[in-house]
Amino acid sequence: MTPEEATAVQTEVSEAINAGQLIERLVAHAWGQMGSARYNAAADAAAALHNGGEVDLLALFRNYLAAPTVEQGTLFGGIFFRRTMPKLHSNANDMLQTIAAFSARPPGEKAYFPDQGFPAWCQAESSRPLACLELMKTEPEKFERLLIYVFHAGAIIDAPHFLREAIELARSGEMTLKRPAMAALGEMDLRADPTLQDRAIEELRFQIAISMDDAMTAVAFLGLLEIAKRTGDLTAIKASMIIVPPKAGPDTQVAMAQALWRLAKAADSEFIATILSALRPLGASNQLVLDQLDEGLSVLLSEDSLPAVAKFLESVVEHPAFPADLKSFDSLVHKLTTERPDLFGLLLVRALLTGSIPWRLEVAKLVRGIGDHIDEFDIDFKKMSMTDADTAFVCRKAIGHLPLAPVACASILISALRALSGEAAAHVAELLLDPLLINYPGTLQEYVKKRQGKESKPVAKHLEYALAVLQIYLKGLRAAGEVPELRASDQYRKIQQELQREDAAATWKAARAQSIFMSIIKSSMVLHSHQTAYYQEARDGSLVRHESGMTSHGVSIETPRLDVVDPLGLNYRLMLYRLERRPS
Amino acid sequence: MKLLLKEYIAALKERDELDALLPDLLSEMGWTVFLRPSRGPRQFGVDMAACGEVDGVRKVYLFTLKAGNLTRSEWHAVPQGVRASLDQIRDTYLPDAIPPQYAGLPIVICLVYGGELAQAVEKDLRGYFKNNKKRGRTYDDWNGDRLANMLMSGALREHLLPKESRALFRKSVALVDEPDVSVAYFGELVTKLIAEMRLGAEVSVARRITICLWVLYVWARESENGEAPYVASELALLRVWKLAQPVLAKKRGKSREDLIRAIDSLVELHLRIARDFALKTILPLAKRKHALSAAVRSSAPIDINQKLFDVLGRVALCGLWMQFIRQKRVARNEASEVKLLDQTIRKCVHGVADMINNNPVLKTPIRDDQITDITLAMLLLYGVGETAFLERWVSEMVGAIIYGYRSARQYPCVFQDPRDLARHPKSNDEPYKREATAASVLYPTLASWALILRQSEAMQNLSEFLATDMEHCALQLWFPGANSEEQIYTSDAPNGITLMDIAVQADGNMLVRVINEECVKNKSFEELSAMRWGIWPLVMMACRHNRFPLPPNFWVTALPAASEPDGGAAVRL
Repeated sequence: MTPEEATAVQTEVSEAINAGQLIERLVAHAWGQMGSARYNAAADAAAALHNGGEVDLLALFRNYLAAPTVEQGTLFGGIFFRRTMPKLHSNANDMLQTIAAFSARPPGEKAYFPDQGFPAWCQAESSRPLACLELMKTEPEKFERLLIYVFHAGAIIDAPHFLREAIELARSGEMTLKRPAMAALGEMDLRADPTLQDRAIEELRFQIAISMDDAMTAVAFLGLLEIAKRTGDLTAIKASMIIVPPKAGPDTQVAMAQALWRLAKAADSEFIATILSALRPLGASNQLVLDQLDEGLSVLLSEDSLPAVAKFLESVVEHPAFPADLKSFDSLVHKLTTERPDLFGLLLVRALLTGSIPWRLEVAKLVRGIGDHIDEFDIDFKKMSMTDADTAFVCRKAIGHLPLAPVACASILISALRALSGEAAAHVAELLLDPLLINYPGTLQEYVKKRQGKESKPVAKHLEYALAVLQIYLKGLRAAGEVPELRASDQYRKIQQELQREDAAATWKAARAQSIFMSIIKSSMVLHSHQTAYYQEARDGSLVRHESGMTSHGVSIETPRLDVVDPLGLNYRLMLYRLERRPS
Repeated sequence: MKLLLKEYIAALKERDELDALLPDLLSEMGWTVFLRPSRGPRQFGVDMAACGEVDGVRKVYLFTLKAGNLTRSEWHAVPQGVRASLDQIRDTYLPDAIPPQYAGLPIVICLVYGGELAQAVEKDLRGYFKNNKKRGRTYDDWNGDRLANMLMSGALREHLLPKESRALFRKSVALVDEPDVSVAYFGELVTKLIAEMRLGAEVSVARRITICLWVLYVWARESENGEAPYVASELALLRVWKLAQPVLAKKRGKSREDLIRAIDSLVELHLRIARDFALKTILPLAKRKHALSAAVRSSAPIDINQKLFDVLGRVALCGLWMQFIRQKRVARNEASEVKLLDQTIRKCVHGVADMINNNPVLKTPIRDDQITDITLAMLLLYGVGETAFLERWVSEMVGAIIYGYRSARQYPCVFQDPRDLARHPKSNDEPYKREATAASVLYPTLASWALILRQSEAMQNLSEFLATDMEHCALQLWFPGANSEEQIYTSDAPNGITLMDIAVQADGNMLVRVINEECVKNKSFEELSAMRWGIWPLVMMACRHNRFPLPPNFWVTALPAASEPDGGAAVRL
C-alpha cells in the first residue's frame, strides 16, 4: 500500500469515528469491500487513534455490544481483533470487560470470541497476565474462558509463579477457577524446565486420581494430552490410563477418544490398544466418542494397529447393549476400502478367522455385492503365518459370508492358493469350483481366466483344474438341450411371470417413491417414442426448439445358479460355512 | 383327419408298433385275429393272421409287417428281408399252419408297410405277386395310405368317433407341444367316448382310446415332446380300467377276453410311452450334475422342485411297472424276457439314484403331496435292496425339511394353488407357517420309512421336530375306503379314509401299531379292483396321477414289529 493510500484509509477511519460509525463501517461491513491490505491498514489506523487517545476503541465496542441487537458482522470480526487487539494500550480491566461484553451476548448469536487477540495482548506486556489473573479471581464466572490464556501468557513470563497459581487454583475447590486452572496446567509450555513440567504432570495425575467429577477428569486428562502432544512423551498419559477408565464418564470418554488423533504422531500400537481397550465397553452409547474414534482410527490405521482396531470394532459391533455398525466409522471405512485395501483384506481374513458372527457380517457388508466398496482382494496369507487348516477355514467362511460377491470371494481363495499346497490347495480349488464357479459361470469364469494368466504355475494349475471341471459341468448342462417334457407347465410359467411382473412393478414404485431425483423434477409419460421435443419462447419472442432423446439405464446381475436349482441346499451349505468352528 | 392318420402310420418306427396297431384296427373292423404278433422272429414269415370279410367273401389274411417305407434293400435282405418272408409263408407256413377252422378259405398274403413303396422295388414286388399267385392264393399290399383309410372307415369311422370327438382328437394331436392343453382335449375325448358308449361297446371304446393314444404318442414323438402322451396314457389307462370293471367282473365270455386284451394293449402302450420318457428322455440327463434341474429352464426354484419330483415319481413308477411285469414273466419262466426286464429295472433304479444325487432339489420336498413321488422311489429302491442309498436320502430329507422350516426358507406345505406355491414361504410369521403346515401325510410316511430303514437318528430328529415345531400339524395317513374303487382311478376328489392323530415318537412303536392295525382292519385296499387282479402298479398310478398318497399297505410289511428295534422284511410288491 502506498503512503497515499495509507493516508486515505486513516482519513476514512477518522471520518467513521466522527460519524460514530466506526464499528459498523470497520468491523461489520468493511472486510468484504476493502480487501485485506486496506483493511489491515484501517485496523492499524484505528489502533493508532486509540493509543493516541483520540478514541477509546474498547469503550466503543462495549457500548456497541450493550445494545439489544447488533450487526451480526460485528460479532465475526475476527481479523480485526487478531490484528488490532494486541496493539491496544489498555489496562487489564478495560480489556477484560470488553471481552466479557462479547461473552455476554446471547448464545444464539454465536459471537466471535476474540481469543486470538487476547493471548497476544497478554504477552505484550509482562504485568498484564498477573493483573488479569488478579482481576479474574474477583469475578471468576465472568472471565472463566480467558483464564487459560492468562496462564499461557504468564507461563512465558514467569513459569514458576503461574504454575504455582494454577496448582493452587486447581486445588482451591472453586469450580469456576479449578477447571481453567487444570486446563492451564496442560496449556502452559514448560518444556524449558523439566522439573516444572513434571510438577504440572504430577498435579494433573493427582487431580485425575482424586476427581469425582467427569468434566474435571476430562479436563485433567486433556491437560496430560496437551503435554504429551508437546513433548511427544506418552508415559504420563499411558500411566493415567490405568486409573481413568473405571470412572470415565461421557466427557472423559470423548477426551480419551480424542487422544487417538491428537496424539497420532506419537501414538504407538500399545497406546492405541490401551485407549481402545478402555473404550470397548461403551459400544455405540456415545456418538461423540465414535466420531472422535473414527477420526483417530482413520489417521492411525496401520498394519501394527490393525489387530487392536479390529478387536475394538468387533466389540462395538457386537456390543450387547449398544451395538453399532461400521457406518459409524465412515472415515475409517473410506480409508480401508479406498486407500488401504491391503489392510482391509487382512481385517477381513482376521474377521473370518476369529470374528464373531455379527462382526463377520458387518465386515462382509463392506465388500461389493454385499455392500458397495471393494470387489477384489490380494491377501498375503503367507505373511499371516496361518496353518493350512485355518487358511482353508477362512476360504469356507468367505464363501459363507460373501455368496453374492463372487469375484471378491474368488480373489480370497486365489490368494489362499498362493500360500497353500497339497490337499489344502486342492480343497480350496474344489471350493472355487463348487460352489463359486458353478454358481457364477459368467463373470467369475472370466475373472478366474484372467487370474490364471497372472498367477504362478502351481496356482495357475489349480485354476486350470477348476475351469476344466467347470467346462465339463457346463457341457453336461448344455447336453440337456431343450427338453420340452421338463418344461414347467404353462399355467405355472404364466403365474411366475405374473408374480415377477408384480414384484418388479412394486420395486419400481418403491424406488420412485424414495428417489430424491424424482422429488425435484416433473415426470411425464412418453407413450410412443424415445425422443421428445418442446418449444420455449426466447427473449426476442422467437420459439426455440429443444429436443432430447431418452436412453435406457439398467444393471444386470448374475444370479447364483444353485439359488434356482437347489436353493435350500445352497442356503444350508452357506449356513454351515458361516457357523463352522475354527479347526482346533 | 386322414392326413393326420397317414402321418401317424408313416411315423411308426418299429415293426412292433405296427404290430400293436393292426390287431386293434382289424378287430374293430370285425375281423377275427387268430395269430397275434409276438416278439422275436416271425412265424415262418407271418407276423399276424386274421380272418375277415372282404367284398362279401370271407378270406384268411396272412400279414407280413414292415414299419416305414419299403426299400429295395429291405425287399432283398437275407434272411430277414421282406421277399424272404413271403417265400417262407409260401413254402413253410401255408402247407400246414393254417388253423383247421379256416382251411379252404381263400388266402391273401398281405404285405403291410406304414410308409410308401420305393419305386425301385415296385416292379419286383408286382412281379413277385404275379408269379406266385395261384388259385385260392392271392397277394396284396397295404401301405400307409390304405391303413389310414381303414382307420377312417374302421376304428375311427364317423359313428364311432363322431364329429365333435374328432375335433377334440385333432386338437389334442395338433397341440401336442402344449401338453396341458393337449391332455385336456384328450381327457375330454376319452370322457366323451365313454359317456356316449353304446351298451356292450367297452372293448371297442377301449380300442379306440388306445388307437387315439397311439396317434397322439407318435405325433408327440415326432415333435420330440413326450409330455402329453405320458399324462394322457395314465389318464386313458385309468379311465379304461374303470370302464372295464363291469365286464371284468363277469366270470368268462368273449367280450371279457377281448377287453382284457384291449387293456393289455393299453398297458403295453403306456409302458412304451413311460419307458421312452424314463429311459430316453430323463435318464440320459440324470447322470450329469444339475442337468435335469437346469433343463427345466425356469428361474423359479418352485418350478424345478415340482417338475423334478413329478419326474422322479414317473421314473420310479416305470421301474415298479417293470418289476410287476417281471413277476409275471418269472411265473411264466420267460428267462430271456426276465433278463431284459432286469436291465430296465436296473436302469430305472440307477436313474432314480442318479437323479437324487445330481439334483439336490430332490432332497427338499416343498409340497406335502410330493410324498407320493417320494414313496414310489422308495418302494422301487427298497425293492431291489438299495437300502444304504435310501438311508442317506431319508436322513438328508429329514435334515433339510427341519432346516428349511426353522430357517423359514423352504419346507413342505399343504398348498396346491400355483400362486400360493410360487410365493411360499411368503412369511416367517407363525400364523402363516401354521397355515402352510396345517396337515401332513409326508411326515408320518417319512417317519415310517425311517423306521423301515432303521434310521434311529433321523427318526429321533423328526419326532423332536414334530413335537416342538409341528404341534399344530394334523399328522395323517391315507387309506383307500369303500368309495375309493369308484373314485380313485378317475378323479382327484376326496375319497378313502384318513387316519388322523398319528403319533410320531422316537421309538415309532405307536406309529407301527396304528398302521398295522388299520391295514388289518381296513379291507378296502385289498378290495380295489386293481389289487384283486394283482395289478398293483395300477393303484400306484392312480395315486400318482390323481395326487393321493400311496396307501401304507404297500409298505406295512416292511415296518419293524412294534416292540422290536430292528427293521422289517420286504415291501408288498
